[in-house]
Amino acid sequence: MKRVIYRLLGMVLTLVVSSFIIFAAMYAAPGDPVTFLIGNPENITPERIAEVRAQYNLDQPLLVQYWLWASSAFTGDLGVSFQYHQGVGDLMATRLPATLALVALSSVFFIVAGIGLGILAALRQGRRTDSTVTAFTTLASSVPSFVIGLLLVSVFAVGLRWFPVSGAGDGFLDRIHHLILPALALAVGAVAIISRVTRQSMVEQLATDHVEAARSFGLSASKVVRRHVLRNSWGPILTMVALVVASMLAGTVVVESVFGISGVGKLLVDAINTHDFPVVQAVLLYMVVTYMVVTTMVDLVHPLLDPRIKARNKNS
Amino acid sequence: MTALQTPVPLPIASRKRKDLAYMASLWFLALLILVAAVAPWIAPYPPGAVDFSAIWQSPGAAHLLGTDQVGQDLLSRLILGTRESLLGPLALLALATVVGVTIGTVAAWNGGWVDLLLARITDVMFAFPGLLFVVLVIAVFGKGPGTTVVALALAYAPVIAKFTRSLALAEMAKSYVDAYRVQGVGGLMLCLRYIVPNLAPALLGYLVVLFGEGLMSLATLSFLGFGAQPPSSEWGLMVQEGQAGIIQGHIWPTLIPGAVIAAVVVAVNVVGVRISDRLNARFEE
Amino acid sequence: MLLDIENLSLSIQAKGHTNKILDSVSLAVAAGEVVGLVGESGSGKSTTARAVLRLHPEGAQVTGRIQVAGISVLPGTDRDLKRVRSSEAAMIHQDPRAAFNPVRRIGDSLTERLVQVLRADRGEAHAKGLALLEAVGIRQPDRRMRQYPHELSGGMLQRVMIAAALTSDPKLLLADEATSALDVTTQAEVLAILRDLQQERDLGVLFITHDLHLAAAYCDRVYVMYRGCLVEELAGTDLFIAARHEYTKKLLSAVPTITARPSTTEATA
Repeated sequence: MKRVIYRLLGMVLTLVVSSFIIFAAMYAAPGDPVTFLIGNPENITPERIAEVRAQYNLDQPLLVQYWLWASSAFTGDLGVSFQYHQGVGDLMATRLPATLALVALSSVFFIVAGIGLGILAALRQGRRTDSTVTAFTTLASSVPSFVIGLLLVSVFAVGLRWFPVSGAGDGFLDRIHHLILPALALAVGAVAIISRVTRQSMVEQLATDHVEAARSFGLSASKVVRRHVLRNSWGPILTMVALVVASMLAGTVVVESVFGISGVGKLLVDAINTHDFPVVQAVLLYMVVTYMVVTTMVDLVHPLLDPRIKARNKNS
Repeated sequence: MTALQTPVPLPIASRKRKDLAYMASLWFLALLILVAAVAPWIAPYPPGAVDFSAIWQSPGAAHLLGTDQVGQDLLSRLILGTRESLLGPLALLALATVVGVTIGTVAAWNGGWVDLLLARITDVMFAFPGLLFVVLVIAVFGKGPGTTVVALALAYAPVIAKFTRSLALAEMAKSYVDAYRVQGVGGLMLCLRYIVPNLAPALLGYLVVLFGEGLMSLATLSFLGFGAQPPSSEWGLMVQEGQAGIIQGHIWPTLIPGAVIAAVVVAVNVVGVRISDRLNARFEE
Repeated sequence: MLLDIENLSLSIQAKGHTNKILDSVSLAVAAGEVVGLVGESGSGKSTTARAVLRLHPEGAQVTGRIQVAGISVLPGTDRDLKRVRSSEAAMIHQDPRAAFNPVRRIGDSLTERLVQVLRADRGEAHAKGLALLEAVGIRQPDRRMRQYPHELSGGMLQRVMIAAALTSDPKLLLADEATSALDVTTQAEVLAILRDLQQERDLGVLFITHDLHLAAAYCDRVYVMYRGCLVEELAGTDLFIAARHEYTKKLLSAVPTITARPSTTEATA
């Protein structure tokens, strides 16, 4: 219990610091924060300056400003976009479904392929299949996701016309149809990570005495793998899966740009290009918060999978 | 039961294959450095040579790798872009190493608040997944190759610092450090002349792998339009510029620079893994 | 014969040269007989026992014949192998803490063979498990069934392992240094339990140990193994008296006794 509280406190502290960095970053920018916040020089008018000053409480000390920003962000008020003149919260709400669908579909791909290839490599350890899987996944993870994305577009969308070239689609089936290629592009790097963790974790388990003991009393190979090898490997595998899913939100920035999907990642890129700082801050905050919450959750849930860790925590 | 077995050493054939991959990677990288050095003299066309009568050409005799949307020779652009594409990651690593090794060594040597601060900074850095920290810096300081290199260096520095710290702690536990101290060698002198040089080999393997990652990150940022700006022919930017042609079926302008990026990253990883393996083997002995 | 090993040879290819692990090993264990297999670590004792259940490394080259209760394991079909593994023979491993899956409850591990391999009814398997835990002297067996391996002491786990080995009523036990990891008092307790059960069930036991005193006291017959070869076969009671082979003598002389100091220091052990 103590550990849970410490871990949560640690998370809150890190969140406060990182959100402060996100907020205070604009003060580090050369020049007056007002001109910076307004961004586009054409928009600089006395009214606009007054408006921004009031909105950002610029006459207050930095810490007070941060507090006002963070507390209103906490209640869902993330400010107003300079570019779209629309609440940042609403803006993100319209963009979020496409991004979440992309991450979800991509997660299905990389979990199935990554764990599957990892199991295959572990069971064929030291043989040709093993080195082929390792070589293939390492190679695939060395290709940047935007190159993979463009390759997929040119072959399957432009060449074979199986999939649309861009967009996120409407309705369930159409959305999946649109998102298959982007999800694949996003998943490729993750497959290498997950298959490596799966393989490593299973290879360690395969060498243990209890696995040999299970074989010694006649348990079939598939049951040995399911009930002993895989069962005991889940901890590291699931931890890594959760971390990869959480960091994928950041990966959507690239893939959404390649496939012209108007999701949160594309919103971030556009916001940077148009100096729409409230949007930049909000999107970064949302990605960092999600990532932090997921990593903390993983830390807290992990012991439940392994009674030994649970016991150790109880004792300490 | 064929599926389950105890570990066996790699068959000899596969080890030979690995040697081949290592040698091929080394030669490829050496060739690339040579190309970067003499790029302006070997590029068939001068930089910015536009030819609107020959746009989107497929590979052929006049243009070995074809041309892009304004008729620039792709091979020439590729060759001319070698310098920037390779110097970028190199510069970012150099900067990150200087900062990281300094902080890491000081943290290991002093302990105390420097060490605590390093731990907190890494915590906060790890809260930003992927390239988000770099994106934040770019949002504040504007786009451009300089900003991206510095931002990536800042993002990498804590990781290098953490790695250096753990290496330095192990090094400082060795008896020669005490021996020099007894002789009156100062802390700074000891760190600069003995400890850091002794860490260098282990650090090198790590840095090589980071180089591949850095190259990929820089290319990605350039692709997003945050890094290198036209008329540069940095490879990531080349991919982005070629993107428009894909819908019309012109795949070469994106495929070629993309493949080159991938090839360099693969080669660098192969070499990096080999160097780390060798160093580990030496440590185990 | 319950266990019959004839001319068992085993070698492993590593880095281009062949390592001969076992060289023409022939031994037999009758029902109701406790047969010791002694030798230094690395002499091939464990490999011999593992080969009986075909647990040797996949890449190994094995020749010879192994039969358990008349069923051929080597050469043998997968079906026969499964039958021997599940019902005829059971292995008791050296380190009980490593031999139990740490994330499964004792009850699961104990009844796994019955439920998952022999397809017994869960309730029956549970009842049998409880009875066997009592038979190996474990109090509160019901509670133990719900616990995890890390919550039990080493001695208790070793007793659970004996119980687990007996769930399918095998005729042959392969005890691979079954008590070496335990402290002296626990060792005595576990040995007594093993002895009682062996006599009660008329079990054949292949008892692997590096402890010559234990082998002499515990086994009806003892084989001495040296570098993958059996060099001598003796009655347990004769081990310290009638040994003829040079190696056995060396091994015996290296054993510290209370009455006499070891006479030589050249022993390899």
